[in-house]
Amino acid sequence: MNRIWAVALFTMREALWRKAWLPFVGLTILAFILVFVQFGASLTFSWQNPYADNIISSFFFFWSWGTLATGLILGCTSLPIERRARMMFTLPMERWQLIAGKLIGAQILLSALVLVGYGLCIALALRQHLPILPFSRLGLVTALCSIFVCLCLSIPLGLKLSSPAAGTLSVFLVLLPAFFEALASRGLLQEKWIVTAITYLLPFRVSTHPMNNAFWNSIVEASHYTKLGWSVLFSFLFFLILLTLFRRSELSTKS
Amino acid sequence: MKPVLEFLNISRSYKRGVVVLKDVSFSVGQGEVVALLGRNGTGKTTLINIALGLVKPERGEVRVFGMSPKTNAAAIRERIGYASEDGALRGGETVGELIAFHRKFFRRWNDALENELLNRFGLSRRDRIRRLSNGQQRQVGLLCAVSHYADLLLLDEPAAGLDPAARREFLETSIQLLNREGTTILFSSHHMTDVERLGGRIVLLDQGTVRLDRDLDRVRGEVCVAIVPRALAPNGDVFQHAAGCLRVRAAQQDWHVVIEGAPDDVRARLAGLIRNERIHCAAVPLEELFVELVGSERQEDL
Repeated sequence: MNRIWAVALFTMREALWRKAWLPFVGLTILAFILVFVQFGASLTFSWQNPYADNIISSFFFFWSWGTLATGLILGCTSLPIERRARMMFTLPMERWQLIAGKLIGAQILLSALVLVGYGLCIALALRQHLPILPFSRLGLVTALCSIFVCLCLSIPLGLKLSSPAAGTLSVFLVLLPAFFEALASRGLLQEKWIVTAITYLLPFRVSTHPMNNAFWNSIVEASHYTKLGWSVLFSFLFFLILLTLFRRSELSTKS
Repeated sequence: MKPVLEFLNISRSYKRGVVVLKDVSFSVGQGEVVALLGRNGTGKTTLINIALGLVKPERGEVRVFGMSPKTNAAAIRERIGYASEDGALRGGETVGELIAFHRKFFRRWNDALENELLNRFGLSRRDRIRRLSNGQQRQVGLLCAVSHYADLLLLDEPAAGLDPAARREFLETSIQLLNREGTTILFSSHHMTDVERLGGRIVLLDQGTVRLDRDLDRVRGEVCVAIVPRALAPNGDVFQHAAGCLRVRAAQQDWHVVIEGAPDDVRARLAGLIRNERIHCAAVPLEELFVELVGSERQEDL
């Protein structure tokens, strides 16, 4: 456990040195600009801003997507960097310990970031006398789960693939079912069984609606949490399968 | 001498069908310093990666401390130190952080050796890794590789890319110090000066096979190069069958025959073969010997 924790701590520290948080900062700045553009003159810090729920939701939307983008970059680059350097692979630990340490470190760091964003949103909402509704908590849980799914896919893929390939494949695995669903809903794909088959084959998709509209007054259904749970479970299974497959595989230093 | 590291009939090729190692066998005994020599691409790094369990041999077996890296990788790495030419230092932003990171992975840590090496290398724990020179980074890598009482040190081109002064300082203050502590060292290099400075034994890889495996002192005293005009022997095969012949190479107007034995003795033997006394025979420096053993044939002369 000490070894896993050592890797996790190093992952967190290194993420800060490597400036992996730059996409997050970029998206947050973009969020502020867009909020100003969208709400213009009505954006005052007075009590009871009529657009408060909209503004806070937009802020959390950009904050959480920025964190997710950071997670994807962290996830798909972490093992290719280690493969090139080789040093970590020559330390006395099993490969799964290294990968688990990377996952835990990145998840803790990014979860902390999302929680800070959520905390700011809660503070803003309280200042505007908005009720903290269950849907906002669902938004927070969705953001945390999305990060976990993203890391479970991108980190182990980095053991065999280059960073761009691991990142692209992770995005592809998550978005492919949604893409086919969109095609089917527009009548461009008649064979519904294809959509069903892909949904079963790639059950990693997370519905990001609660994350995108966290502070709007939407209704939480029990199925929201169930679906999130399944996505998390399946992505963790995918993570475990890759870990088992790559347990003793040869280390490619081409990355 | 008890073998610490054994390569038994190791063969390995890469996907594009390039054979890197063909039936390579040799062992490294306790406390030995062995230089793995060979041209670029002859499988030196592959062999070290096989010992570390990072690369698998297609055929053959490797045993480190009597264990297989396939099944006991973590236990083996507990007793191995590894440093390479191109390996980036991972684990911390400063020297102190890097050392602290590394010591979390080992049950034992030699604080006295760590401090001694820090002093010898003139490094401070607060030095930032990125601001250190190339040579200093190698020294930090070496410090992390050995301070856990490493029984076996695997060094892949440890001093490559350093200027001659830095190279000398690095080798003298580090590897010689460690070998005095009884650490077994296998290092790869294509710099003969490094090999001559460190002494020990050389294993020369050429075209995937072990071309030469013997103590450096014996190489210096017992191997020489005979130069025979090709006019005297149109076919070089005649030398291939001479006792102790290691290689026959065509070079311009001569045959260069690398052969075991003292120069006078070799001259007499070869003269008997071609019934001619016009043979120049001499013991040569290690670098010359390396070129003769692994250098290319000059196609235009064949």
